[in-house]
Amino acid sequence: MAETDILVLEDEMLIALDIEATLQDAGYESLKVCTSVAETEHYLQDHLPAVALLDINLGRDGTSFELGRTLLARGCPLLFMTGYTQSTVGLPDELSDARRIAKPFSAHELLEGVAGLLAKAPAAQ
Amino acid sequence: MDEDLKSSRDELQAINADLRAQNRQLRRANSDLETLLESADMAVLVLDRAFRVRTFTPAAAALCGLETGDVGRPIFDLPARIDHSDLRADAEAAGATRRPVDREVRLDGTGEMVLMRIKSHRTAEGGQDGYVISFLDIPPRARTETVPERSYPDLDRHYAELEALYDTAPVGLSLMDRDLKWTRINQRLADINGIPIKAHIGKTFHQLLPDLAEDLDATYREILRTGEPSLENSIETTFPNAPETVRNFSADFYPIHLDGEVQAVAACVTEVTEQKRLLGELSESERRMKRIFDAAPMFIAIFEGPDHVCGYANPATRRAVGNRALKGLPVREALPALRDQGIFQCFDAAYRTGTRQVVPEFRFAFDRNGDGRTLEGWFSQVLEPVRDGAGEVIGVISFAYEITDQVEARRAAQESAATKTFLLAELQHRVKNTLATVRAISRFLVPGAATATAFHDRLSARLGAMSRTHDLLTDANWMATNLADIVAAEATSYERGRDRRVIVRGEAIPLTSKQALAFGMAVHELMINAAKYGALAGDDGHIEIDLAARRSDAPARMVWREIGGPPVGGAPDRKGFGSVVIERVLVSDVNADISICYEPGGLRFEATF
Repeated sequence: MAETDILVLEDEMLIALDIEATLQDAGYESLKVCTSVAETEHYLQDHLPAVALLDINLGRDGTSFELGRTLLARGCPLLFMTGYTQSTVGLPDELSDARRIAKPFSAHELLEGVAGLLAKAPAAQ
Repeated sequence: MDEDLKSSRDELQAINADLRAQNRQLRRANSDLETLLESADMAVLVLDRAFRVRTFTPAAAALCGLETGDVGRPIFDLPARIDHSDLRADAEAAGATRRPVDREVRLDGTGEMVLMRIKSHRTAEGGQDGYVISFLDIPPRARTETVPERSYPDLDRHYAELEALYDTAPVGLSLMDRDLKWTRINQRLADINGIPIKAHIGKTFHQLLPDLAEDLDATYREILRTGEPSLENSIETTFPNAPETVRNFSADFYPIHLDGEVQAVAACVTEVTEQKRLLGELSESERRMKRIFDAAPMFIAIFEGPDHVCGYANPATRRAVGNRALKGLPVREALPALRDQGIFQCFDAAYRTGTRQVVPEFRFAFDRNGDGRTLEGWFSQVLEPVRDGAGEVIGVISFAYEITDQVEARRAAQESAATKTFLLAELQHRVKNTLATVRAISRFLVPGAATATAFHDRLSARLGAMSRTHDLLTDANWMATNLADIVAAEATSYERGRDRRVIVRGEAIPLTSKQALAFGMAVHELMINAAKYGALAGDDGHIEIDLAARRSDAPARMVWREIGGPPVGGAPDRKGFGSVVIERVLVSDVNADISICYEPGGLRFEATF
């Protein structure tokens, strides 16, 4: 568990810190929290996380869908964290298999999502 | 007395002798006449004034089937082997004109035609005495035409066939002699005229068809004169038996030539009333259709053949294409602007497969007003194959109408719906992120709160700060808010009367909503810290805030200086929620560089971004 890399992309730092703290409290230690697409891309040059938790609306950076495609192509399972519902902003077809949880989420919802994701992540095998 | 008697007897004897002599002469004359008639083998029948049989020759007896006992009986009472229906009229005509009247009659049984010549017979005193009827063979030249020679069985058969044809032909047939009197007419034409066959024979147009007589007489006389036929004469007329019903006929008139002379005129008459009516209806229907097409507000055009040559374009179509030439042009030449729209392929498909082709929506840009400007429009089109009477596709009719307004309205509605969805999504995003932020704030406030009440107070204060920033953002339409306004909003609750404790100087610094929210929280934490430990803790301190907007060579900058507060003993041991907000959130969400100095005179905070 400690070796597992979890990438969190959330542009609002306070929310990102909450997610980070929730995961740390649950025992996940190998975390990478990014708040912008550029920062994430930079990180991904040398790293491949086991799973990725992505906020959809990144403000000025647009959405995380393109990053999601990249991560998915590299075998990284995705969890989208979003305030949107499927009827307002749906996932693109190629990402429709990804999990999604609604903001604001409880610690339980987040941890269950992450556990489910790790279960199918190659690095967790 | 004796002398008178003697003279009388003498006289009587003389008269008797005369009479005997006359009787002898008469007998001889009669005998001579009979001998003459018999030896000449002439068929002669003599009738008295009342048409009683007076005498006849053996040839006439054979011809007419007369017997000796028939003498003295009216000819009309005898079983007739000849058609003598016109005899009385002919005889009277002969008596009146003192000229012989000739009539061709057919012998029953043999079907042979003979010429019956009727001559009036007069007494010595000139009174009407009776009639001499002689039967003559029809001259050979006429007989070849009408009478089959017994010696030519083929001709006989042909004639019979001709007769049958005449009687059964589905067209009216008639024959008139040079005097323009009917000599023959078949049942069909007799029915058309509404007069029995027999009643025609020997009659003229003037007698039976007075309405048509003038024209037909003229036509017939022209044929007799020139020997040329007159074909396809259109005749429109009514008949006495149905004066309201106009009937139409097509008639051909042919001269019958014999020995280089026109001997008769044949007529071949077909009734075309129904065809004429149908043609009239068709033509009326076409006119009606054209009127409808001409007035239709849609674009209607008819194209013919595999190349879709335009044969008709209604005024709406012509106007729509700027009155450019369409008629006579293949559609690909006439409307090249339709290329690449798949329209021509639909024309081909409609023509080739004979099925309707529908193009629900296509764009068409062309010079509509003929002024050189290209206008774009959206159209909907149906291409219907046009078939001939045999069901073969011979062309394509195009019905098209403009749907530009509908397409634009639909686009606007779609855009409006998209905008609505976008706004809802944005609202959803903000609300949910705000709630997530509140969740995060609560988490980080927990460590500093000993009791639930303390936690509630702490949370309420932060929610108040968030709420104030939201109000400012809403006032600014969630676009650019001013940093000075945020500072002022957070300072309000610390101001005491007229002496300002928070002094803001410098320039307006516009902030995005994300920056505003981060600054709102950060300034709130700075104020709480100042009120607890800094310049606002006592009554004499104040805070000076200097703002400098971003320049091409320098970032925006906020400098926060606390003056006149209690002595500062350096950085605090515990890093609470305030430092999370300032050192992590502000740095990240505003992308700011910050510095915090606990100077002896008071805290100095600086953020550049």
